[in-house]
Amino acid sequence: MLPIAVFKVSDKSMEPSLKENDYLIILRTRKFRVGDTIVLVHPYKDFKIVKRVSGVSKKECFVTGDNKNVSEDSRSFGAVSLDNVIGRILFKVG
Amino acid sequence: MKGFLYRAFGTLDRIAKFEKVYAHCDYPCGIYDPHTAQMAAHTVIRMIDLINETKASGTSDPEHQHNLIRATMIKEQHAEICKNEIRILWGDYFKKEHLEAYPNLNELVFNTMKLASKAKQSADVKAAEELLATVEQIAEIFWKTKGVETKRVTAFYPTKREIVYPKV
Repeated sequence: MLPIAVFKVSDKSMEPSLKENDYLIILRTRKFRVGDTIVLVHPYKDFKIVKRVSGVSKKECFVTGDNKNVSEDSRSFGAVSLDNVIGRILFKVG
Repeated sequence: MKGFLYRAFGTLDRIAKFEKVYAHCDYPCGIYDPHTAQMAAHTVIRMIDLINETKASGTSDPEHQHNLIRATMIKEQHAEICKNEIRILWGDYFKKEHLEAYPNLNELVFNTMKLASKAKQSADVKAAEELLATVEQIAEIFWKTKGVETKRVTAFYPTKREIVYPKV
């Protein structure tokens, strides 16, 4: 599997930091820091999400959306296992 | 105008079909319907009719005053519901290609916001009727984007104005 992957943002709710149809170039890794933006598998739904890391431990991370008024994130689904993490965003093309 | 890199990724995307990732607050459920906005616009008209009927009665006893206040409050609430429902369609459902296909869509949404505010500010039934007419046009565009034909029928509400239904 390639260490780099590309995803396309499919909606608007991370605007203005991530806009719909932006391309995200990510490094497949489970090493990241608080403040990084990561792509991960939703903990109980069958799709991938992009969120910002608010906290991280050895096994789990706590993620939140940039628009905290409406974001569904670790405040509702709890900390997420690092096994769910696909990678960290290196840069976006938009 | 997007830069060269973006266009290059766009070309790659058409070939490789990059996987989508959702930033969304909730899963994009796809459950959208312009019906609620239309019902809200009908309610605004109905409340204005009731306000004007109460005013025309010429009475000022507490019972009438009470009904007048309630009707005004409901008018305000439903004008806001109408605005919110259209905002949801515009912000979450309609996409760039819809705006390209229906270039008057932005103007219709803009007009909805203004007309709903006007309906709040007065008891002018014409403003409320214009609001309904604008929302109906948005409803028709909504269903067209789904490839669904629509029909305009007289609603089974006391307003006796039209409402747009999908032909299903």
